[in-house]
Amino acid sequence: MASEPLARPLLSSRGGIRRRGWRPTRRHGERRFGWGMAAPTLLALAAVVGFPLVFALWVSVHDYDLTEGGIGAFIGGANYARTLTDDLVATAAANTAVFSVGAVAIELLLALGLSLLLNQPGLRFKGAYLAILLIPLLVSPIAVGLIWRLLLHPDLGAVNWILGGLGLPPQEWLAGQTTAMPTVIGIDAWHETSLMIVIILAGLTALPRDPVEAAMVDGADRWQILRTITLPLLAPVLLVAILIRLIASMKTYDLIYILTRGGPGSATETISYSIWKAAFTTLEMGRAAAASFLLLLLILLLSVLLVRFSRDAA
Amino acid sequence: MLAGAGAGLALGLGRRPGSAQEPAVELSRDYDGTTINLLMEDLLETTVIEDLLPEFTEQTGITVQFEKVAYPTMREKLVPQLAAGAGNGSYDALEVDFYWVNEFARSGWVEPLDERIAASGGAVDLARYIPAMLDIGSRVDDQTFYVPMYPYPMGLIYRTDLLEDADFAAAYEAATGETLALPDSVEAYVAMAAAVSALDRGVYGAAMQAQQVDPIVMEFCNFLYGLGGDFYDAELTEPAINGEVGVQAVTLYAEAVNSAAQPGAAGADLNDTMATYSQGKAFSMISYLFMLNVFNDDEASQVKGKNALAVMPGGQGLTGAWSWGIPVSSPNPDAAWEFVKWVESPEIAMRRALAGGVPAQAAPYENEEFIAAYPWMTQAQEMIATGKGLPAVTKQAQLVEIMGRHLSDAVSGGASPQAAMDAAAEELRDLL
Repeated sequence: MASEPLARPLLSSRGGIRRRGWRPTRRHGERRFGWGMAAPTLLALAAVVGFPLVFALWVSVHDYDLTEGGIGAFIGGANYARTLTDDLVATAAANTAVFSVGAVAIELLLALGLSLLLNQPGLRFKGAYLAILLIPLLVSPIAVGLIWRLLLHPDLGAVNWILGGLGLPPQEWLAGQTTAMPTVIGIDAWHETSLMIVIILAGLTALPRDPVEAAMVDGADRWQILRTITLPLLAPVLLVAILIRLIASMKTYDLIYILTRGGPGSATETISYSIWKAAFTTLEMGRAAAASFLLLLLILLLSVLLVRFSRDAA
Repeated sequence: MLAGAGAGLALGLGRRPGSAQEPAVELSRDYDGTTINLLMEDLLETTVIEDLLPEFTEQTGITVQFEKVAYPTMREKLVPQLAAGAGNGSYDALEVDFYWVNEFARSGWVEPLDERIAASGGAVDLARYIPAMLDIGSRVDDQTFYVPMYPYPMGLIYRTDLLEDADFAAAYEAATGETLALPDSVEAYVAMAAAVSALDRGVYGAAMQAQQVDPIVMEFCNFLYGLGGDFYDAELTEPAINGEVGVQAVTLYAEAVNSAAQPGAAGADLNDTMATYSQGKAFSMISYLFMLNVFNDDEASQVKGKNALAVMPGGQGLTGAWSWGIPVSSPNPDAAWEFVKWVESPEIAMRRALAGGVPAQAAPYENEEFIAAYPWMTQAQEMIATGKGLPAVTKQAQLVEIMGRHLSDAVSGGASPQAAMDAAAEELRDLL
């Protein structure tokens, strides 16, 4: 009787094929060591990120109003349905879209322009310019809100005082139905453009010089170089910058809280502010958790789309 | 468990000015060595009490720690603690604002105090308080959950120098054909304030705070109550805010913001109005009693000593109030009750009043020393006595949020007063 081959293929635990008599290789040992080293971090992440997420998901499918005691009955998707059919949430979603797109578009244009200026070869005092431009980034959103509330004070603020000096009528800025959202977008742009500058300037600095120099030898002007070389090469960086800022702006709550409390009426109410109200004003934790998950899904979807665009662009 | 009734060493408070006829309150030393924690709003009344705390510690052995925070963060800090379950919270006694009283009581977060009060042997006696205080911040569903602490009534603050200025009065009369005088109705107040603004003498008729959420609602309540209106019908079965009086109140309020107040009043809060008024840029303000102290005493005020106080035109305004409560989640409820007995004893209440607090109890208003030091407290007492709180729905904070949003819409032209109040009524119905 023929004996079994010594090296009969076997399925490994991960579906790969290994041979009888298999011994841990050095590479396998390194992998185990790597997992061992990463395990504490992974466990900590599971505890601080995973558990709250799972708990919030569980809360979102239960009737949980803090004023009615503990977590109530399982109600399936009722909190989600209520959130999706709430007119005020729809308004908040539209406001969030306007705010996010408006703010990120302005920040992108400003940051790109300023980064191109700062990236000019031989620019003097570049460090000083950069330091000044980065100051807003160092200020907390709450402080930004308070500073701008004072500057935009209709009666006592510096902005209307300057307008008056120029012979222009004072504006209500944060109190007008048509002025509140553009004002909040402008303040966010003042605060967050710095971050975009950091990202885009890093991208510009890392771009290869050869294509630009070759184009210059071929007689291309600055606009042609920007349009056909710099921007295409910079596209992945721009997409990352847009992604980071878009996600952050969709979660904006602090500026709205300090500047307008969502007003006038619901003119500047964003989804995040609406979630805060559900949790801390009406104390409906189930509804707040459901709305939070919907926002999370939206952000995940957006992230996947932008990452895909980013890969295509690269 | 009731607070060491009869057990332990009972101490009488020392005699102090203003307490000569008051009985001593007996305090227990059963909780010697205990530390109790309270979350407090950072304002004058808190500082006044804080200064007296060493005496309480000396008499009871209980150490009291105040965590002082700004108002906007208080409820967010309190709610998770209150919902923590019996004995699991961080705070032993609470300072509860008048529009949390129903929510906290009906959620089972605070103890009913009737038994403790009955067993206190008169140390805490609700008969000592101005009756309106009990309606606004003490009783819920025929039970006593809170002991009144300090009222903050709203009314009309106005410039006496301008009211008595013959030149200003003549200009007003020339423009309106009427004598400049304190208005006796909401309609007359709005007309007067608009006329003063129209004089164009660098003084707005009113400094107003129409920023949502809390500022606009607190101010608007005075217009609504001054017209005899309310948010719901008397039986609390249907919203009444979109009825004739409610819509009239919103119309008048929006008119005042847009034609009588400082520019940008639609987005202004209390700090903004304080700045406008204390710089001498406004003739009047529907505001809190404590603002009078700011205008008359603050170094930065340009209208020091030129201000007086009156009940809201129409005869009724909003009275807000803070009250003491003991949370079910309190780790030391009995020691906390000793503190409430002490801080609301007639003697300490009188000393708090003499140090600049606003008394919830009636006795200080009869005290000559107190009235001599703070002459406007006679008007303040009337404001408190005639004042009204918010409707007794459970989620009063949500009522304020709903009203704030729709009022702001009406004031900024996003909706007509009727449309805004119809929308508000729809949401208010859900709170019943």
